Amino acid sequence: MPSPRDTPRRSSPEWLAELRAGSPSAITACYRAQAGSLLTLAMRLTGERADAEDVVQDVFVGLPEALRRYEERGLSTAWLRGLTTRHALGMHRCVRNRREVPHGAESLKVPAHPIAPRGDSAHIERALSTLSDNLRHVFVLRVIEGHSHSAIAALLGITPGTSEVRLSRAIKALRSQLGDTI
Amino acid sequence: MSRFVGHPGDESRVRIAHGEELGNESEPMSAHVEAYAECLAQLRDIQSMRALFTDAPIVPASEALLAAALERRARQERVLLAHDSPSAVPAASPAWKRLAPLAIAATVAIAAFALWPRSETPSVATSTRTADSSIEPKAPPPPTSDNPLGALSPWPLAAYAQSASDVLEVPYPAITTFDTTAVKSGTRTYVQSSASSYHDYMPIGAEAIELRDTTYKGVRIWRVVTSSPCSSRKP
Repeated sequence: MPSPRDTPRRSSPEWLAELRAGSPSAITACYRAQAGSLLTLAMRLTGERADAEDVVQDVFVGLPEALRRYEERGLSTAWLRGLTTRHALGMHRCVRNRREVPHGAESLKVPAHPIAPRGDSAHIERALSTLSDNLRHVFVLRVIEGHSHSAIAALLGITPGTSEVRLSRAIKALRSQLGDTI
Repeated sequence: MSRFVGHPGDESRVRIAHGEELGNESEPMSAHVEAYAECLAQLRDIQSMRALFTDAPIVPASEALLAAALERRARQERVLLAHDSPSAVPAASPAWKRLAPLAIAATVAIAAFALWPRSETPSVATSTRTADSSIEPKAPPPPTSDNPLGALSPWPLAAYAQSASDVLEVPYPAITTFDTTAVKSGTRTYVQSSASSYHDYMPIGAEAIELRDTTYKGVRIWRVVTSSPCSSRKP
């Protein structure tokens, strides 16, 4: 299985044309190469596996049409991650509007499951999931994905200053969660 | 030690951890971080935190998810995905597509200008039809399902929508659903429109109309006392 950070090996113009045309075999190849890392990203952004799976499924349903508006020689992993990020944030916004959020639960959420033993990768992800959506989104986009604060501000509809403040709060909260791990 | 540049905040540490350029501050900041053990520890802190997430194993995506996506495509289901990342170059659209929003905006502006109420200062008051209110009005034909506004409109095939303050709210009432109970006595601006099997509402002009109501054989009917065009689009 190719590295999730690599562009799929089958990124020739012919393969891209097949993907644009919606060929099931091309979609399958792309899915096998990229779906895992996209699902991880979507889970970090939405905080829910079920929502993240919906996001990834939507991305692969809409990928051929989205590719028709994309003019590059190879399929860029960064572009695919950007596509997933936007869809995850958009879908999460809709889902969040439907769910009731208790007033005052701004900075920390109570994790659905107890945090796993330190050093476990699940421990890291669960520590992230304890952050509020606002803090988690900025942390994921800035620290893990490497977007600039201006780009994050545009994605989240906030100011770059707010993004910086949220990043500091997220790091502080995570530091207390992951104290011994880092 | 290099000149003091202040302790880097979280954002600067993240930028250093990402290997991003710090501009003029790059060199003194690196020197500062190396010189201050606490700053160095905090930078390492961010770097380790980032490494924890980037090196974490990815969540495997199931084959069932792929099968579901392919099935949705087979059912001709489509999802419109927004992409605007710098790496994406949007395909150039034809010129007519780029001009379409402009054309729509211009049409809306022209329509709004034409329908704007001007009852107080009519710009084109070409004629005024006046009826003597002291004379008992001739009984108009009673409203029918084909022409529910027969009692109101002097033009059998024309209809008056609600007053100008309401006409901007869409959807406009169709002729067959026009509510004559909303008509009021006195002078108000109405939009003259026509309707067909293709268009429920097609404005053709605006008129300041003075209406009086009376009762004829137990039925409340309306009569037009004066009507003054206040739009140059009168047919």
